[in-house]
Amino acid sequence: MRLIRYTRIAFVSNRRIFFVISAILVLTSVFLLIFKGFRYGVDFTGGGLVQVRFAQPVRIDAVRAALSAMGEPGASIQQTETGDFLIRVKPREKTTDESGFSSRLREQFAVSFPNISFEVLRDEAVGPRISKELQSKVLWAVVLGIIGILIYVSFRFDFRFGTGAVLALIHDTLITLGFCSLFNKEITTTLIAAILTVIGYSVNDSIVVSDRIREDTKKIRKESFAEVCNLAINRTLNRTVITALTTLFVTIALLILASAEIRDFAFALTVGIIIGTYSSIFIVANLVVEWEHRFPSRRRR
Amino acid sequence: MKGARIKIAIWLVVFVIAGVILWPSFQLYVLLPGQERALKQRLAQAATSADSQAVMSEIIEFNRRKAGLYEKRILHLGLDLVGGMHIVLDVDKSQLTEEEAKRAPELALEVIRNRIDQFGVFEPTIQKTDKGRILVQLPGVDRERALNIIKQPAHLTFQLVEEKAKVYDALKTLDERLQASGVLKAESSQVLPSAGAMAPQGMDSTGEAAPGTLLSYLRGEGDELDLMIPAGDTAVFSSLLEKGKEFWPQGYEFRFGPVESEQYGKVVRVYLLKSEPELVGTRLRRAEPAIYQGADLERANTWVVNFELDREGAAKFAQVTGRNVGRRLAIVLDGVVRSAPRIQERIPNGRGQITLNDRRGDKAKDLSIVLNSGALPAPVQVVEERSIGASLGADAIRRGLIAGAVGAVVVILFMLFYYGVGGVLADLALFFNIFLLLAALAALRATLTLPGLAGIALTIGMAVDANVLVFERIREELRAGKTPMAAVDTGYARALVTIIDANATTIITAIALYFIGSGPVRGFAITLAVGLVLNVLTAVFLTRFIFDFFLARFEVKTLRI
Repeated sequence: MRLIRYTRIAFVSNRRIFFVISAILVLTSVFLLIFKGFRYGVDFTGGGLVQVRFAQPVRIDAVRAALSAMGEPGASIQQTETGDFLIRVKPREKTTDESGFSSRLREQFAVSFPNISFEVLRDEAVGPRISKELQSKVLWAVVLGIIGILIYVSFRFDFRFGTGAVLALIHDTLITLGFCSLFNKEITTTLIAAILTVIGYSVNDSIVVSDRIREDTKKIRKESFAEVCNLAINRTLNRTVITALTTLFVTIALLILASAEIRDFAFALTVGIIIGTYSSIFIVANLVVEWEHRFPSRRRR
Repeated sequence: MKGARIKIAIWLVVFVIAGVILWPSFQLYVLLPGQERALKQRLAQAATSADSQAVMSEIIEFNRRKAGLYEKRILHLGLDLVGGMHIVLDVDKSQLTEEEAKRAPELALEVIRNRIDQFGVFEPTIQKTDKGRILVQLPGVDRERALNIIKQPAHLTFQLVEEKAKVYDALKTLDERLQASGVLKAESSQVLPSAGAMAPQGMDSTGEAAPGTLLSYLRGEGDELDLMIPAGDTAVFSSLLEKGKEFWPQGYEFRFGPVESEQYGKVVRVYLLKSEPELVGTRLRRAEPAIYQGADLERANTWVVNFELDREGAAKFAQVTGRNVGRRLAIVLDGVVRSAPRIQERIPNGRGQITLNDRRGDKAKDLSIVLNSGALPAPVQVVEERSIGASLGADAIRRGLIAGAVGAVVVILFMLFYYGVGGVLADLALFFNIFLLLAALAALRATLTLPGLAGIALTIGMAVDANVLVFERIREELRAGKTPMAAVDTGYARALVTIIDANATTIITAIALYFIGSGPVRGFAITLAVGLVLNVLTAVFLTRFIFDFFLARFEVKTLRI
């Protein structure tokens, strides 16, 4: 069976429309990144996070009172859908030992809730030095990852396609980050991993289209570059859509069924793959065509 | 077809090797849990003691087998899946010389490893990481006990104790000095008409001590002041002491005891000790937990730690006790005076006892472990912690597996539905792929984390990509009127370049991710990278081969994919 018949959709001649759509999405995302920003996880801010599950329902006020009693009135308390409490504390200015908060919390809860048993499901504590190191590590990983891709792409393709793929990559990453900001996703190392995967996927997709254009420009001499590009997009359309679908089946399953931590990860992947697919159909080749249109290369008429 | 047999043979060998590698993991995670449940059930149902003895020995045999499996190359499950403690420790080198600081992380690691070995944890990870830090991962432990065992410096000293009158005088002098230097407001005692109004509870209103002074914290009445302060006031009291440190009696130091329950409520004792220890107990021959057997009724049924010094230590101990009969000798552990018995006579055998307020025996057992393993070269501090409760891990693993399975089934059905025969091939490759991926992870002794599971799920989605590229290309060639054989040939040839290009970039990002280095993300990076490499291999070499094989064998005239 076929999902998409052999098509001749005019992707290239309508490219201005897609440029406008992308521009709106990118600008909105940049706006969100600047003015709304992100919620950062403990990994990056430092501080502590304790997740507690009580055997019986406990009011959030009671938890707050217990925290005040242990001298942590500034702790933020959040209740999850499963009724667990997520308790966060800001990083200490002068820290000696990061495990102390959770230990004191356990003692205090045992006193404040003498008749209710509780289980600490998660302890995260990151000292100020560690969080700084992690920030720079993540930054390096992202920078090196992108440089690695750039080197590979520029080595395998000519400069125009390389630039097209990189612009698409920036486009996909910005919009994915914009969605993460819009939906208040917390930036953790796991989410960064998802974003990097999106970057990989985005380039992967761009390459499939670019490869086809490169191959077809050699074979089809009589048609214009724009025509060849349009044909190549149409010819790879089936593959682009099907690969996106099979990957989305998995990320959406994770998004719906997996545990909370994986859900944010799956969210970023799902958004990123949709945007990446969109950009490799509507943007990558069109950018190259637009460039070729304005600054024709010497090899062509 | 030429070489078909060799190719079949190669794939069979690969398959068998993967199976052999995965067999211990399969036993561990699939077969053993059921057997363990059955054994526990039989133990619970055992009617006679002979029966339960028999089951017990079977359980011991079972545990031996399980431990044996851990020795092999198995797929490890990350702490985020099984639950457990993950901490990174920094050795505080501020008090060490340069030479000591260099060796401190190594020494600390050795001591911690010793302690954890004795504590008895299945599969601990204790290793040095960058900047001389120590990573400790302990699956399924009681966090508080484990932290206590790891972090306790275990510095044992024996110091002579000053008598009460002298301590009282020292505190009085300190009070005067503090008042003179303005730390304590001297006039406050005169301004207030009745000191008793402000005096802490239990303090006689006719007592001489002015409120806020060190003496005012002591419990007791009149001249019968005891050298104890309310446990809640320890912080204030010790900060006052700190402020007057220059006025402490020369060669002496103040120390506190542990929190005790007395007639005044929860209190701690205050001691004045000779700073120079008589003996430093780094060299213990052994320490072991025992039930208290002395005359103190308060301590009946509590656990203590009996220790024995090594020969050199015992000789020194005999000398010290012989010289100081009638005086009190404090046993100080990590700055806390555990007890301060009066020396009745010279103690020749180097034996002593540390009393604890412990009715369950945990503390005594843990302290014995710590003392037996020796002292840490310097205090260690937890700079990072990521601990997961067992039930959260179990929940994560269950939901992750369900989500992954649902995703995989949808992909498999979709491929069958969409590509027919080709779909069968792609699904076969997918299955093979996951099988090899798990085997590769086991062979690499990699750890499967929650993001790692997601990584496997993701490679399932992306695994079909290579085949999709090929199939779409074959379809195109068929449409252009080529024979099935030729279409498959060109399809593969043309798609190969793209497949390699496309996967290479994702592998590059996976490598970058690996260097972020945090456990779970690293797990994701490894599964993704290995998964993608296998993707290319199975798509290009396995499905290609099967395609060719069937086309040649059955002389297929028309191919529908």
